[in-house]
Amino acid sequence: MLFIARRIGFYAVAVWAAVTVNFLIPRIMPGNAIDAVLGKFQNLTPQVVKALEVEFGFHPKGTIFSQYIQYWNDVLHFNLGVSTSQYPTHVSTIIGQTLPWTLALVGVATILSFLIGTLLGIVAAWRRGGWLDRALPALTILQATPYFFLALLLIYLFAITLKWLPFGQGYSLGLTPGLSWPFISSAITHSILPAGTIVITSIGGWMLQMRNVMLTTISEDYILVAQAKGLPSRRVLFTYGARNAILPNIAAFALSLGFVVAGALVMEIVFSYPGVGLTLYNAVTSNDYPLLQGIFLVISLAVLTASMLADIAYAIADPRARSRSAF
Amino acid sequence: MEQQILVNEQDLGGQQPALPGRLSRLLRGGARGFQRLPLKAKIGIVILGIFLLVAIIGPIFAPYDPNANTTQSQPGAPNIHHLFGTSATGGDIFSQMLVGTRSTVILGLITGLIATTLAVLIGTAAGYLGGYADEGLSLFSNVVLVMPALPLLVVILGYLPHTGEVPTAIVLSALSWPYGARVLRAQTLSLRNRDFVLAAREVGERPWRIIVFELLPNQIGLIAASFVGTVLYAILTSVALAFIGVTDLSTWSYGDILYWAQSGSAVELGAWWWYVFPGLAVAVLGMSLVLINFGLDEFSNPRLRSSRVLRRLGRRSWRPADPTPVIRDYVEATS
Amino acid sequence: MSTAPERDLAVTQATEGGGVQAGTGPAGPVLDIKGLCINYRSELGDVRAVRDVDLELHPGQIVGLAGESGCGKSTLAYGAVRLLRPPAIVTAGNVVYHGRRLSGVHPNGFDVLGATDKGLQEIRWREIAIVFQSAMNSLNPVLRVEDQIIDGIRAHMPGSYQQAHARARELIEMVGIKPERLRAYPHELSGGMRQRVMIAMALAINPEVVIMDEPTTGLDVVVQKEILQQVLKLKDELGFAVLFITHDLSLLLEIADRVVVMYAGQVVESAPTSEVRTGGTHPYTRGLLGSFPKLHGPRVKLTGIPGTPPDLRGAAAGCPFQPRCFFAQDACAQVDMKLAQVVGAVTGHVSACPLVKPGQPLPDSAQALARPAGIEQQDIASGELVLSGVNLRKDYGGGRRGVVVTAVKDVNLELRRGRVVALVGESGSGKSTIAKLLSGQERRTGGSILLDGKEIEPSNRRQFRAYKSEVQMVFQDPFASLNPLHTVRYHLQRALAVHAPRTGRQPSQAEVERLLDQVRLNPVAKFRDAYPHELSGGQRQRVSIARALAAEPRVLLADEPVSMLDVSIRLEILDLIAELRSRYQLAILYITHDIASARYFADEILVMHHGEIVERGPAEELVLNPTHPYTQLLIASSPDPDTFASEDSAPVAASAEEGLNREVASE
Repeated sequence: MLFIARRIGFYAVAVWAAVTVNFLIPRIMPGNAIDAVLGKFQNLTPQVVKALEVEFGFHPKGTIFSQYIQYWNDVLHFNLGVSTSQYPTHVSTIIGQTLPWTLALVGVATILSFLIGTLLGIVAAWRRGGWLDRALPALTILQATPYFFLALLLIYLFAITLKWLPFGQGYSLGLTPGLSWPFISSAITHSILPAGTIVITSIGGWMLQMRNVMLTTISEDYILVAQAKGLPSRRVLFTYGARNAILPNIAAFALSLGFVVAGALVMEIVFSYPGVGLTLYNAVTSNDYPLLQGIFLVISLAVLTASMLADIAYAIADPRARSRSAF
Repeated sequence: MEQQILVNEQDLGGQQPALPGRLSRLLRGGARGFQRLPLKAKIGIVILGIFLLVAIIGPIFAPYDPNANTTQSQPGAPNIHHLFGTSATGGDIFSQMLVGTRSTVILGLITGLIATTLAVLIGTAAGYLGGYADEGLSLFSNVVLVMPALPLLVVILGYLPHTGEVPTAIVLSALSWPYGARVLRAQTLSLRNRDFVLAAREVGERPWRIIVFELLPNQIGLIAASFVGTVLYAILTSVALAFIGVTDLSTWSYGDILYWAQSGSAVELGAWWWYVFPGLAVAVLGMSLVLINFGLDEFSNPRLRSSRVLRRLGRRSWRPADPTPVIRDYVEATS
Repeated sequence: MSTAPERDLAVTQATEGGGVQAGTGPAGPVLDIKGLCINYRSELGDVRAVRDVDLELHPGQIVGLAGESGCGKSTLAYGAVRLLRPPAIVTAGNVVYHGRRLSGVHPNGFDVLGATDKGLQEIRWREIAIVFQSAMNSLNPVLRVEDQIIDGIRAHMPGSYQQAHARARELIEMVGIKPERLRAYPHELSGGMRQRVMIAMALAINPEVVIMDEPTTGLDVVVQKEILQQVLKLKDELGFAVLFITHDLSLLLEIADRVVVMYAGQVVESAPTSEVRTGGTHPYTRGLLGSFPKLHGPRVKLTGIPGTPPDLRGAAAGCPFQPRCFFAQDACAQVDMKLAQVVGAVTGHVSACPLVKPGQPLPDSAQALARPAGIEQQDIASGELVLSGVNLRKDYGGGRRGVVVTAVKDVNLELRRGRVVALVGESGSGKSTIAKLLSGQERRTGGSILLDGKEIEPSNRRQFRAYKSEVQMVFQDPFASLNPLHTVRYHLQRALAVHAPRTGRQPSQAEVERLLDQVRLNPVAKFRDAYPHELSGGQRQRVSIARALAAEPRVLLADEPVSMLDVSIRLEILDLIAELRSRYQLAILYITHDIASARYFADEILVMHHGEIVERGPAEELVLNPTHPYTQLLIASSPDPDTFASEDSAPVAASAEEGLNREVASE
């Protein structure tokens, strides 16, 4: 329990850091921030300028400390300011529309790729010299391939040349989002290519890591004991081998979520998938700083929550973690 | 040969060898070290070497000005004049890549260098000092580690007036050191309580000497792996950043080419050469780094090597739960 | 693969009669190993780890397998049940299991080497169970103890989960652990309890054969004694046969019915225990016996076994022990090792050495082997006082959590020139903490340390170097105490340079060589530029000692300097330390868990228990007439061939039980 308490404490610090960084960035950037930002805009309406000023404290009201308190107050009330590119829509409204798409797509695809990769890693380690074990070096190229590059290739192959699958948007035009079959089936076919991209590019990493930890675990004495006990090899493999080897993999999963999500965001842009990633892209191209910052904050919170869940899963899976207090 | 070395060493009588001798020994040692590396690492090093060469001399050999702008309005497929085809504005993709390699490679190396230095300093300090210093530094690195870097980079670089290689490399370094620091801290912690470190302290060595001469040499493998990993991370991230437009568009890098391909609707136009060549270059460069790390891993952990012994036993695959093989007509291999 | 009659132990065994305690069943072994050969494949040529070994295990018998590390004893046992993994392969031989329960299905015995994976599951655990060496790693850390016992039961016995669970309760109580502990995870148990769990697990399905691989190595002697007594008791009740593997021959003399000694992958001697107890025949067996300091009889110099075991790559010509043998003759290099009945001994006593007869005295070469001066006991009150600890105290913990553990409590000790003080205790007794306090690695909580009568703060940074030039330390693990990346020369040069700061020059080669010569690493040119991995354990420990001597200290703290070394090498190192103390009049603190080795060369013994010194006195007097109950328990628990008869004496059993309760209570 101490372990979980400490982990929760850690994530509290991480959330505090994310919010504080977000607060500080526009205030500590070099040069005259107002000119830098305003210089990038053309034809700003007075309302937008005013919104910007309030947002970034260009004309600070009160001390930096009182601004900070106000900022926290806003964050806790989901008040992330007003988008400059879609004025006067609130940032929280835009994120609210796009976040579910990303959560569903990236979440499902990442978990799927972790599970499949881990399983393949177990098989590769268990069958030394088998075809999967020998194919591993070839999989490294997937690890080094940028998500969006693979996305481009898949689109070219399956959407443009073969015309098997649609691409662009999250569902076919003309459908109304809702719990209707045409919408759901359309959403699923639209998500196959993006999800496939995530699974294919990240599966190699999970697999390799699981295989390596498995190989170390297999030489532990308790595997030999299980064998000497005459247990069926399936039980030796899973309950004694994989059950232990998966622990470092879960820990690594918690740590690398941020990286995986980043890749997935860029991938969304290629597919024009209506998620947070595409919104981020639009915010960059239109210099919509309030939206940019809001997205960073929301993604941070999502990743931190997911990491924390993975960490808690780790604590449940490892009885030693519960009595240990280390980071 | 063997004798000559012996004679040499006796002549020197334990003195420091002269510089040329040292250099040739270093080179010879390097060559021997390379030979001992696993095949994967060798392949990786050779590929990386080619990219480094292109980064150094590539711009000289670029057949066209990468910024060349013709009145053509369609991207051109690869042909004799334009090996990798042209962009929608008539830019030669091959030349753009020859020029862009430098920027991509330099960004990766600078980031790798800064981030690894930070990782060594912070990781070793945390592991060696222990106590509250360790708690604080570990907390700090873990917080930076779980932060999703890409959106943060977008936000920070968005505010910066210039987004060339150096600012990007610095911000990337600031966000990518914690992974290496974490690994090095764990290693330092385990080394710190090893008897040879205690023994060095017992002899009366000063702490800085212990860190530099006893701890760090034992971490070279990890430091190298951390460097290679960071370079890979930096290259992939910088390409992704450029792709979404957070880049200095007056220069060329792999990411920039991909950005123009995306904004020029290369996919929809079927101009595959516009993104396949630079994308493939990134993938191959990345693969060389992954292979090197693969090799480093196997070098330090022999268990990971695919067993040559199995092959000699004439078996295709083997499970750890299989009983000990019994080979009655066994003929011992002579070395 | 010879089948010469003298090699066939089955014949000799059957006619042996009284030599075997429990040979009650039908004549014939339960496990029959013949001509077994096992190789480890490697790039540099195969290591022939087991060479043409015959071994038989009869029902209800305990066969002890002894030898130095790397002699092939574990490889033999694991190979015989096919638990070794590639690069290990079995290249020749036969292993047949004749279990009573299988006699209907396999009338001619179960052919282990011919069996498939599925077939082996039939005999694993149900017929042949194993207690592994390291209790720490042989339990699955993420499964509760009960699940690990139960899954073994369920894999082989029909019945419900409830029945299996009831059996698990029964088993765990049988080895003296409360059934509540079944719910525990392995990391929540002490080392001794984990080993008991392993034993309970091994006996789950009443196997006929139990292989025990160093089951008590790493445990304290008191716990070791308790566990061994439990094994003997269970064996008598359940009637299984035991193949007991250990490096500790004296342990086998207490429990085994037959002792098999291995060297360089071969069996060099196999004899009923009584024959070995009276001295053995093969020079190697005699060397092993002569490596254990005794707790009874006169304090004598021991011979040990000089040298290191041979490389096992390729075929060996002649007797592999020849280079280390006191009896060696030129002919030894030609003859092949062949086991043969020892003339004049009990039938079934075979030895591979045709030259040496039982009871033949050591040749003059061995007698004359320059045994160092220094093991004679000195008067402990005389000698100039160098370093002393007064009322030393060390607490750990505290702070916010508030739990304070006192590791050392009010300890007084005095180290005098030319005297050896031994600090004896079990793990956790606080003996190593004292070394850390005296060497300045840790700061004491209370008390004072006096150097030449003046109070000193060893952990103080400014005084540290000066203090280090007077007080040096030798570490326990020679494999960890040298940096693998530096040569011997580097290690010694640094130690010399640190303590010769005035001149500011590099220490000369001659100084390095002088140090190597002091610790008898000759020829020095061979060792000077070696890396640690090129040296044997004993040689590394010598380098460690040389490094400590570089500062020309007056005090040497030796924390378990031989416990990680093979028994045959321990004496050499202890002799070296003894020699150094008389040559340089060093004051030595020898920290050990082994009271017999303390008796071997210490002048004064302090016995430590729970952070306190419970008894102190001149070495001989303390060992021969211990007064404190804990000292008595410690001495009674130490394996000692000479006390075999008194093994089941009442006070020991009572104290052992008390020890057991203490251990259970401390969980």
